[in-house]
Amino acid sequence: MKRLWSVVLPALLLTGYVFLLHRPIATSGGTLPPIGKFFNPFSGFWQNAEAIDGFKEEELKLPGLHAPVSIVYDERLVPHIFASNEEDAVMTQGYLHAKYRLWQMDITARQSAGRLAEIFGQRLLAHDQRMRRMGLSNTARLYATNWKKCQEYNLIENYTKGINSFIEGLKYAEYPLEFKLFNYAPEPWSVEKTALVVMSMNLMLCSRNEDLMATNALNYLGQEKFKFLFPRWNPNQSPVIPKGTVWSIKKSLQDLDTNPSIGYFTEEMINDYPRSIGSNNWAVSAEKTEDGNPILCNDPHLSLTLPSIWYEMQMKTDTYNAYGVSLPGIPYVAIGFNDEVAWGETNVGMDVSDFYEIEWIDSSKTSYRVDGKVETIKFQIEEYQTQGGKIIYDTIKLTKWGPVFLEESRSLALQWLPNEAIDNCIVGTFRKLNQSQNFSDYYDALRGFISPAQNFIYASIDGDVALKVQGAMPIKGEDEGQFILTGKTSKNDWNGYIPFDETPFIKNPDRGFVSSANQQSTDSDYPYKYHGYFEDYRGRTLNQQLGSNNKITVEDMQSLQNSTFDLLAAELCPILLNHLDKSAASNLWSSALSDWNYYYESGARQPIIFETWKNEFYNLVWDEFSNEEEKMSIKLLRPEMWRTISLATEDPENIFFDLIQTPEVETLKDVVAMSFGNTTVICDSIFASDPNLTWKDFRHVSINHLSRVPAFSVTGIDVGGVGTAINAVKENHGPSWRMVVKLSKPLQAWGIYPGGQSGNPGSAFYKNMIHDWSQGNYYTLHHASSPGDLTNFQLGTTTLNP
Amino acid sequence: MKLLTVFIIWIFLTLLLSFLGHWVLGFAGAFLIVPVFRLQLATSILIGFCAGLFSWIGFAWFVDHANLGQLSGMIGSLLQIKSTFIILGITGFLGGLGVAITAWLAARVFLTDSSQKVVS
Repeated sequence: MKRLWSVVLPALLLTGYVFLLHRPIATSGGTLPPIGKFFNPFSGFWQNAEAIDGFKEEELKLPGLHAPVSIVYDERLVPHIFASNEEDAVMTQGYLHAKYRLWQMDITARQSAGRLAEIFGQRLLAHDQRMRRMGLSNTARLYATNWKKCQEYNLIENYTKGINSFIEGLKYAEYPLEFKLFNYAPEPWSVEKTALVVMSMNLMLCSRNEDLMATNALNYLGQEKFKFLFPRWNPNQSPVIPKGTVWSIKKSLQDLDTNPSIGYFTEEMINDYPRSIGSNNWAVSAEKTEDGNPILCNDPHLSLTLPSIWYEMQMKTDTYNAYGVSLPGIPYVAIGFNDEVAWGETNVGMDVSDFYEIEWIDSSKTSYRVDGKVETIKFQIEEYQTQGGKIIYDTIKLTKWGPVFLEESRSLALQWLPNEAIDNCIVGTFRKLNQSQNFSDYYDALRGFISPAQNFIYASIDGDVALKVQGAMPIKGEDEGQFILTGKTSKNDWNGYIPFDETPFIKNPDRGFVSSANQQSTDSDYPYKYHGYFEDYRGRTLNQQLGSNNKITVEDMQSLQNSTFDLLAAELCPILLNHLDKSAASNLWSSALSDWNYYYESGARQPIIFETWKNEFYNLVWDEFSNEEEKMSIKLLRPEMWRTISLATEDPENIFFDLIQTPEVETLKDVVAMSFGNTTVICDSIFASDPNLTWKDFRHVSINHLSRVPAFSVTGIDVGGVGTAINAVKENHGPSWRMVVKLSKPLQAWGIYPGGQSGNPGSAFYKNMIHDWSQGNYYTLHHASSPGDLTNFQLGTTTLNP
Repeated sequence: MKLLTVFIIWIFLTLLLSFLGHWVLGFAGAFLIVPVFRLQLATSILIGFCAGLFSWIGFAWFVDHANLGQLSGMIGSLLQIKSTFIILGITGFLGGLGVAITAWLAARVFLTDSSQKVVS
């Protein structure tokens, strides 16, 4: 018996120990991975620690290839694919996306599918429910089905095969680090998952909805004051299509019943994405450049994350040779160039998300009335798995417009363009752009692109420059879509989309350049009406700069992309200073602003003072809004900064400058004085604690890992810029890729993005480009014709055999 | 001297088994070493612990060295551990403990009290 116990005891201990090593550990801060699986050096996290100066030359099999494919990696781990045909190139791209960004692809697809709670636990269930309620998962399924009608479907399947070949060959030791950390395994990829990644782009770029806040503001102000404070057009704007363009379109707008539902909405709409998310792009014609070659530039401003949203690569086949950045999960190069043309995109910002207030028939809320007729709700049961296997069910009600998104005191149904635009063959557009040889190829490539609407810019070695605002844009009445619409009448339904040949477009304009920076697409003469979230300063700055230079060089363009000059500050700061009393004007802080050149340099301190003053001023001017918000527990849309500045310029005694909680009647001068007083107190305090505080320390720029794990993120980046400057760096948004292409023969290009080619935190190529990006540096992009062109820049090669 | 030989063999056996199969298999080397070298219980546990510790630490250090400590630094930051040496120490301890417990079991399974003798 004693001997038996002497064996059983260590046996039990060993079993318990091995069990513990394989078991996730729940802590108050989250769940830790199984300690043994994670720490063992043979398959745990140590296996993700790549040798810093090592590159493994490989010769691998990739079943499904028609011929061998050569991949040459350059010194930044940018792969240059040399394939004999397009099918093989796309399959190789899928393989490389998976090899370097598998976890990023997985988590992006899961986010859209509403499946994050499976990995991160029940705390993300609300997020998942929101995604499913918005319809992302359903729509991705429809996209995947509809793509079967696209010419490119077999290519998307080839891309998927490439990804799955990589996944199938993975051993646990080779899993990307995050799979080990969060203790789950990669799933096979599918066309539907590619569609989910497309939906994540839609979510980021066109899901903003301010209808609740706008409706509340309308209710608070009334029609007249609302129109005064929220004019549809900024008269100072420099739109994408230049002012004065004559439109040949004849469009008589249908009379729409746009009366919004009246009354306050106490619900809150989550707007994860900032108002002016966007980008810059421009192309200057040969006549405006010093050496007579067109130049195209693009810097998309998106969430700055690690891994980066972009994966840089070259795809060379026997018929085309594209280079640029791709989106892991979606085939082809999204922004880039080939031997003949270059292209790029910025976000359009049109409002394509509308709420309809439902008139229920009775308290069961299962049927509703439209045009006096009864419509019945369809029910969709959603199943959510949470970490640990617990299953939760949720019912989504579907109306003719879309899902019931909010159902509290009042019920709202959401109509969102991506859910309608199920013929959205985005891959077809990218493919055709990759293969474009001239203007007509470019124009034709855009036909299949529906959502999210983009400003597609173009330049060619033939000398053409062009820009088309492309995407499905619902035809709307004057105010439709700005407010919550009544669902009682079908008159408020969307009335089709602006036809392809009538979306705003410009080619080879007299001014010698085309440009966009998320501003309004047109002036008010454009026959179609639209509402959106537009930027008011970058476009103006850009057009002023491009218009004033007729000997443009590549260096000028790089410098412009990095410009931290802020036109908003240049317009507002003098107004504020001019309205200060003499005594205040000699104050330390106001004196500093008097000497400022309005550049948001990382080492400057004036941006801190100005930002503080701007915020204090803005909040005081619109104090009635915050007062009403507090009183009624609602959220109100506030006037834009450009409107605040125009009011200060044109009508300094306007009643809105009066502070409602004081008996006196204040004017602009009083508000300026009071806001400056507050600013002085704040600046005295913040500079007392750190006299050397500069913009980079005050406005902390971070590039977070997608899981928000701080250890895998980079914080405190030394970079200037501000959202309204061309170098639109915000706390964790900004230029996610800077590209300058000279359309010479041969074509030359420069680019950089804040991250690295590898998604593995244990790789030397995980974040290696961030420093150069923050300093405004560029890398020469090696657009090779053959592997031999890369000999001097080569890190190593991989050969894939059928 | 023979103990040193056993120790070195055990390290290589742990590495070999861990690479060939599942990492837990590395613990199983004890079932070979203990009966072949007829180690005493205490010696089995002690040498087993050291062999597990050194094989895990050694390999982790080798990987970490080539990586210039980039990833271990991040993992340290994630776990709020400032020193990479502690990360290496935790790694080694987990391996050492696993091999030691397995050695204890092996000693109990294969060796009776009278048959145990010290390899010297």
